[in-house]
Amino acid sequence: MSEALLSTHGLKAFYGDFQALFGIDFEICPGEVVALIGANGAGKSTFLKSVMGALKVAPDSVRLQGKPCGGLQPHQMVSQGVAIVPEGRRLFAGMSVEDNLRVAIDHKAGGSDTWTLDRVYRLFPILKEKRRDPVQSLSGGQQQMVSIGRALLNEPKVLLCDEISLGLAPKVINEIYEAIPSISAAGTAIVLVEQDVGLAKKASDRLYCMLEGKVTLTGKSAEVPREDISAAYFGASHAVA
Amino acid sequence: MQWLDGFIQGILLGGLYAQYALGMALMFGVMRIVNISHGDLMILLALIGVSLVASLHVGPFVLVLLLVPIAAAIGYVLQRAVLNRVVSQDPLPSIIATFGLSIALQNAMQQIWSADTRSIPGGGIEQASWQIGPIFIGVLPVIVLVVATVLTGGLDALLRYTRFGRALRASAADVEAAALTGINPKAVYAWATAISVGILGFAALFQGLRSTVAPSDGPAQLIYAFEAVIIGGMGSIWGAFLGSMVLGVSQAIGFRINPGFGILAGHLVFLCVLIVRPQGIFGRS
Repeated sequence: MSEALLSTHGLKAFYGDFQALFGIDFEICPGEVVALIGANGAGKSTFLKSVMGALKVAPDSVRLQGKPCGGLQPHQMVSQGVAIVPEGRRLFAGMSVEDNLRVAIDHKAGGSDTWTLDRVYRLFPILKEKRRDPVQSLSGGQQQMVSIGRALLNEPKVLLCDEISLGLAPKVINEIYEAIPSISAAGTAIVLVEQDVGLAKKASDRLYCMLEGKVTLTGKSAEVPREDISAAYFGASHAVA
Repeated sequence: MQWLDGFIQGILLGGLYAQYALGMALMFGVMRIVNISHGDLMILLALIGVSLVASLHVGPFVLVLLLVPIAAAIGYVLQRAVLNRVVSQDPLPSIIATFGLSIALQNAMQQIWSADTRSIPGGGIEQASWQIGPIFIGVLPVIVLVVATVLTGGLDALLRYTRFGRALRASAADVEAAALTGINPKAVYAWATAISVGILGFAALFQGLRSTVAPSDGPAQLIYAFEAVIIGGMGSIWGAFLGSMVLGVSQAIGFRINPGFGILAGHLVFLCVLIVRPQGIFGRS
């Protein structure tokens, strides 16, 4: 296995006095697709927020290519090469599709020119057609494509995807997941946070299962048995850690 | 004919109000900050202008070149040092902070410049006018209107077509998502306030030229900026411009009806807008 691109080491996160993450060890290598599964409230989104710097964490608990980067601001993480497709898409309402994408180009991480507007339009052709439309007029699936395109145009080494299938029709989910291999083929590592275990297993190389702020299972997606996942997911054999 | 005259003078007056209102609309639109010290900052800049003219003996055109960068610097520092600490989804902390700043500024200005009213000498430009039939049109008010229009158009173009404008609009739409897309919101905010207060540099010059300024004049000017922004629709740039015209025309027509009724007429039109269209002319409900 090559050296980890992004890793966390005993990552702890808090919302005020409430501890949400209890020492998460995680790593992802270049070009890898890693799924992060778990029930509601398991800490998946909190994990992504902590990595992005939206929550305060210890400097040494997040490392990018071995370099400590915990506690950096979100915009600094973007310039270091970590981008996120946030939960709920979070597009810039009132701006056109192309302007939404341009914001990301304006603030892309240095040293890489993998993604261009044209390439995003080739990945999601419908966006080219709608590029002058205000984003809020697009359908949910199309908005998700804008959100993914926006994150890609940040030129990330690691792309974090927070529940990109949420609230979308199965057909649209397939369409979006079909884009994943061509994204990782460009060398971008992808962290997929998913509630749909089948979908996550199919789309990823490795997976981590989280429960109540801890990692309860990790392994190669193709090899982890279903029963182990459901135990780790619902906590049958991990009731007390 | 006196109504046409009133209308024209009102539009010209609106040009001055637009220069107060633009910065307020920008700050509200991007940061949801209602800057209570907006009027006091304008007065502060006008008094700085008075002192600059007294010590350097410069004319109004050189003065504006000095005043606008000073204004922008004040805005930048204000945002970095004070407002970035209180800006949040909750508008109350920033209102309290700017309210406090307003009082502090007024007292500081009284200490430095005393309570006297002063004005900026314009070398005759303040009295010059053109006569078109029975109507006199002042040269200075026309310059004020032209500057206001250029500032509004320029600000609108800045927001629409530049990298910085996109960052501003993105931060206004969703500041967390903007940060997650690589924007540093605190830096964007600092430049937004620099522009807002920078525009007050123009307003301060023109206010000082056309009438007098005293340290306690700020709150009255704040009300005009407020009303213009609300009539136009909170946060809309051309809305603030149009709102300023509505306010200026209302006041000028009111003055023609009765010299004591002008200011009140503006307030009444403002109240009517609040009743009929509370989101403002360009506002989204």
